Amino acid sequence: MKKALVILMCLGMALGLLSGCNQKAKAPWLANDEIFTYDRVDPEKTVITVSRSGNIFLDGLCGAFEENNPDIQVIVLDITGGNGLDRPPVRWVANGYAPDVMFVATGIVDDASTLEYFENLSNNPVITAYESEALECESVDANIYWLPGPSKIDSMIYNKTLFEQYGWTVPKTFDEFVALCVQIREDTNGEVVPWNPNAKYTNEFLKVTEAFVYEEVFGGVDNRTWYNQFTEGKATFTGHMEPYYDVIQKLIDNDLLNEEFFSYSATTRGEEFASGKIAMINYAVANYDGEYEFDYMPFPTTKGELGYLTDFFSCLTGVPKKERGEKEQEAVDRFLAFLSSPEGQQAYIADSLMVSNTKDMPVDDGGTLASLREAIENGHMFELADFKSPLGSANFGLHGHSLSMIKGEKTAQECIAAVDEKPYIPFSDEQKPEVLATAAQDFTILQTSQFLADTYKEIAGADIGLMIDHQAYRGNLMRIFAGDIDTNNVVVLKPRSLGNDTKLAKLSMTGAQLMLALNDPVSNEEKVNCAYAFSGLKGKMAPWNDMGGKYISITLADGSAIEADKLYSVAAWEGTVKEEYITEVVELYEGTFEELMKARLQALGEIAPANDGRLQLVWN
Amino acid sequence: MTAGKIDRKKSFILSLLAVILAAIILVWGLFSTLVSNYRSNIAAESAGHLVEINYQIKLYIEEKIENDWNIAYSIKNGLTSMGVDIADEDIYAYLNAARDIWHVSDLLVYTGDGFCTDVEGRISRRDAAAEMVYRAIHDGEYMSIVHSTITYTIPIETNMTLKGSNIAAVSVVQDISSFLDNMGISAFNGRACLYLTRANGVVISRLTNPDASDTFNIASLLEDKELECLAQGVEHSMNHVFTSQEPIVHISLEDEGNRYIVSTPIRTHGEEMRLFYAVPEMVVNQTMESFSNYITRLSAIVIAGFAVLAMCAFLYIYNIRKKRFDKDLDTREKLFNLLVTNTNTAFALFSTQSVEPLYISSNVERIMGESYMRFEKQGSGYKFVSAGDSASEAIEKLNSEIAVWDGKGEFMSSFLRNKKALLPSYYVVHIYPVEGNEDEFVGIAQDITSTRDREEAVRTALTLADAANEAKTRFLSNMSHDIRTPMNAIVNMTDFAMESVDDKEKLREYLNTIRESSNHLLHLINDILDMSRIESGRQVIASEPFSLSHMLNEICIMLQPLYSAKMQRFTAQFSSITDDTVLGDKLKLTQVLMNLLNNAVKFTGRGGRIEFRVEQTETMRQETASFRFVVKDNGIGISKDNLTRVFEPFSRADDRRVSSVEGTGLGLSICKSYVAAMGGGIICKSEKGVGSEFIVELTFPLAGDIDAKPEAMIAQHGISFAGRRALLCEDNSVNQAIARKLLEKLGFEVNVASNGEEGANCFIHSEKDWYSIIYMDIQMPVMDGYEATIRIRSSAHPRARTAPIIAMTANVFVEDVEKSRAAGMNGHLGKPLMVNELVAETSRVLSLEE
Repeated sequence: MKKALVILMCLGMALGLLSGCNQKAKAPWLANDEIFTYDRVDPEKTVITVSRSGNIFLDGLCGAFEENNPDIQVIVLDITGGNGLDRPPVRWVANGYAPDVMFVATGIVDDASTLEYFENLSNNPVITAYESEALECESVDANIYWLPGPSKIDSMIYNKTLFEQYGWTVPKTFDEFVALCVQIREDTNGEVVPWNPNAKYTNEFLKVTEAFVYEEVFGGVDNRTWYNQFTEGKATFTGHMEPYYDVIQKLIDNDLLNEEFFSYSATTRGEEFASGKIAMINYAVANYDGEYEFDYMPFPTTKGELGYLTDFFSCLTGVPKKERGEKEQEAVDRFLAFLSSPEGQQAYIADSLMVSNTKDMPVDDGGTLASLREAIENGHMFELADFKSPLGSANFGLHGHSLSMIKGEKTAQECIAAVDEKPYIPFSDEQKPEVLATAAQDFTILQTSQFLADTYKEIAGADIGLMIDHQAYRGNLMRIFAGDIDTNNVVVLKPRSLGNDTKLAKLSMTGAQLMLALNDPVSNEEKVNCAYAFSGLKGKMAPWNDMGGKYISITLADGSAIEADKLYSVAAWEGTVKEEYITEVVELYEGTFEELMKARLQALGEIAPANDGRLQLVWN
Repeated sequence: MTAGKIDRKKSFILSLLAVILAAIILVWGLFSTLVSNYRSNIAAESAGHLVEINYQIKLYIEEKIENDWNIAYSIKNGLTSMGVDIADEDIYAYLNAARDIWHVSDLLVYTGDGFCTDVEGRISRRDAAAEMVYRAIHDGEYMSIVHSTITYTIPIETNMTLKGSNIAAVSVVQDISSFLDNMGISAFNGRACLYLTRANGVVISRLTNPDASDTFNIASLLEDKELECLAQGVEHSMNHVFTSQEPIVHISLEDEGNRYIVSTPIRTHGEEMRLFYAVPEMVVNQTMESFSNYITRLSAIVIAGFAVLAMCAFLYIYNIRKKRFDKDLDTREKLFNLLVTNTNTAFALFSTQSVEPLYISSNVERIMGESYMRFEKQGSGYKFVSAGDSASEAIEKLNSEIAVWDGKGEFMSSFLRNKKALLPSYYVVHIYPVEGNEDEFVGIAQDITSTRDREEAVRTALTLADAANEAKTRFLSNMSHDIRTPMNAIVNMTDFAMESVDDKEKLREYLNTIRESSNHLLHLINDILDMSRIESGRQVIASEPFSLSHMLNEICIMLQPLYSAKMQRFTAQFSSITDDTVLGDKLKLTQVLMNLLNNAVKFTGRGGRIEFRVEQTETMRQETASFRFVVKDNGIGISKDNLTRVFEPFSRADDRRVSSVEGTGLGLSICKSYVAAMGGGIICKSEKGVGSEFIVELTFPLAGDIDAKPEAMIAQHGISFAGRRALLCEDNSVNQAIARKLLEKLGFEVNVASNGEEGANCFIHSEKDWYSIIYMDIQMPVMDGYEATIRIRSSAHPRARTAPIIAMTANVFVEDVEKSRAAGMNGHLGKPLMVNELVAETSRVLSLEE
């Protein structure tokens, strides 16, 4: 038996090597162990890969580019932003998986330590299209490695339909805002949440809270003097920042800020806002078409009647250093030129709340920005206070203290004192990652998805495990890199939009339901071109086939046929399989994704791609 | 021409070339130095020019900034002087007026609450405005530069309000993009690029030339360029470009053309900036380059002309010398080829580093039998490699000898055989290293065949001489015996005859013995003398008509007593002779045949058989007749060993049977020589105990019929010269007595003269017919016979030319006869005088005058 196993392993290794050899000869999107894209790649076109990390919408831009450049096809890759943890985009580039162009949210890779991986664009002709201030703002080491994306203006977004329906008026001050929130709750009997800040993310939370007190704490020469002195370590929170904490306390007191907000899924929040369950939000993840009309208003402030807006670069665009063919390089150059053109900027901005940082792009003077024009014209815009210094950041203190106040762990004064006591929290102190396991080699995204499916199956003791592959919504976008796997890596591995209250489920599905589910993966209520990575099954799939026709054959792992009427136990996270394909939820497992994965990885110790031939990819 | 001369010629040509080349290099070097210095000066001048321009721009910018600061302060002062209660509208009016008066781009006013407005009432972002005021207050004044826009901000401490808030600061905004336009600097017709940057190189403004490279940071534009700093003693570094406190000029070496890059620091009001001025070198140096190019072209033309003239001169001299050299070379080549062709020495120049011989003469194959050879180092020695697959025997032998040669000094091989030659051929090989080049060797192959032949000949001659010496020793021994034998008879028989004068019978017997011994001795002496003449090569073959049959008959008659005495049977057969009268040497032919026949008689026993046969054979020419003379006997024969030596002089068969026979051992040798001299051949066939056969083959020219000789008549009829007077010129008294006796017996009255002079005088002074004939000895004291004859012939005697004169001398050879005739004598008689001959010759001579 052992002998047979050894022979099988040898054969497997040989096949693996052979497949590896074959892989080398092929274009990367024709790999045997990876699905670069579920969209068909036209072999007649020059293909470039464009990645995005963070909430960056490239569909409009890439679509317009391909329309203007019919000889080029753009494959959009999602690379997890990582919320600053472990910076996956950098790891991708550093480990040889660099895309041709990278779009990243600010703060992810814009420091000097990453420069070696990116082209210096200081002499690239496209920089002439950008405003010098914008370029200088994002310059690193006095050079341009990142092209500034349009500035995204953040304001309060309100459900105009509801407002009109209930006769609510747009608040001009913070007090009016609080009063309105109370009224909304009362008017709707609590069915509509008045406001849900994007409190999960530090900067998103601080934008709105700082705006509330901008006039008092940050606006004017005196406040600016205090701020500059604080960043130089010459001033304290005490005696200045009390209004900020007063606002936080007032929100808490009026039940407008709760602990749940600090872990609330941005996607869920957006969905609930779009569905009329939330009246106001301060961060829109996407534009939604629906029965409700939305509008913008400046963040109300505690002092004065004209609210404030914040702005920041929606994204940065860089070009990783990479060996490219002549055609590919030309395609990249054309892509950057298009991005920097008014047409490209317009395609990127579409009808979102952004202002281009290029010279020739006219500012929207009536449409999207109409409701915010007064604030803009009166200079009521500010850049988020960055309580950073080389030693660390107080921003996390502001954010964390709010949660502490909600929990009753600290009073406002205690929080202020804590900042003064230790104003800068070094990044290294934020989280000390714990090494959980070791990866023998780099995983592909598909292999990572398969590993996750295996994990779910093992935890649940199910016949089958399912994990959505290559999909931002509750799917896997990440790859596991060779080497140590720590807790930060597990956070990055966590599927997007997976709330802390979401559970791993053991489902009971008939064979027929399973087959239907496999061909209809759930994704944010929309049909998204993707597929499940699975465990306990074996099949042949054509990723570029249309949805519903991707699986050419599918059996159980031992090769036996899936019986239509037979019930099978399937492990998957809640919300990743459509309810209509579930006969019964057999069991829900306690623990977050991070907790379950941590236990599993520690139990395994060392992991490697399965390479068990469970999925055969067909590209023709 | 010698190799030394060729070397000297080569050396001369090389020297000439070197001188011309050195001259050109020198001139070019001087020119290059001149141009280089000139260019350096241009570069330095250009750099200085650029620094000056840059410095002026820097001063202008600094002055402009200072001026703008002054404007800002003036506006501030004007604003603060308006009083605290002034209305917002008045403030805006003032700002508008100030902007127009001071020609500034814009004016900004800040309030303490972070409010910022321009003259038109446009409001800026509050956070940026607050930061600007903060900076101004913090620094006392603040200058910010953003993309060609400089903002000069000055804090104001006043109670003046704008929009309800205290005015905190005022800014003057200037667009600096038109700096150069204001300066009126053409900036090299717009081909220069002027960048104003921050201290770290980030471009603040590109002040001119819209086509200039747009870059975020000038440092990134320069980092890939190769820069050379023009300042002396300053090593280039990018850091230096951005930190130099003085204007510094670099040349950026670029594919599309070099550029001057001038970096000048600007420091004003705490702000550090840098001015970069980039101008194509070509543009800056254009004017200078024009003159430089003119000088360069002119100098190049002069140098080229000089070079052409030098080359022409060189080519002219070279051609003359080359023609001469070629002619010499051609002559030498011909000479050398002739030498090589006609001498037996082959030459080659080898190099152990070269696969092919450096030179190999054409006659090497003739001498060595090898057309191609390579000379190689092999271990510590050397070896020759032939062209063929395998080395010849000679080359192998040569290689075995040269394998141990150390390459120093001379190598000489032993005799080597060239087996490919038609005739046996030998050579030796000499090899010498070339002085000063241990890899090159001169090879000489010398044909020593003739030397070897000569040595062989000498060796053979020595052998022959030894044999001859031995033969002569043997001959002398024989002669001693053979001469002493008849002399013994003559001496003793003479004594016996004198003792027996009275006994006539015994006396006759003794005298007969004496005469026979004398004849034998005479015969012996004649043979010796003939042999001596043959060996000295002086024998002369006479050519006179004679009757072959008559001669043969005479021989038979002469032989008859001999074979009769031994009871031998003699047969003669001459019937096939058709051409009887021929031209030839009758005497020698008779001597040859008599010798052969005499030998046959001598070496054939009593009762033996002797056959004498003459056959006329076929001849190729009609005017000649060929004959084969055969003498055959059944005598003792000759052994095979002796048969090869029968014709050698002084050889006699080592046979006891022969030793008993009288002979000189010269007979057959003389025969062979005479026959050879007459153009014929002689062979001998013999078998010991069976007999011998000698065959002589001769060809004679045909002659007409001849008269019979007078001797025959004399012999047959008897003649008397009574009544005639003869003058006998003879110095020897014995000979005088013998001659007088014989002549008197023939009837002559004899007068004797003791020498030639006396004889000549006797005749010259005699009457016309007093003497009928003169007998003249040749060797005489006072005057010899020749001179005496000449004197007689040239005298005035009436018969001076016709008087018969007969030489009577011991000089009996043909040339002696000819010499006598040349002197004017009419006949010749040899001593000892034979009566028959005397009668015949006298008769013949007398008949001539008659």
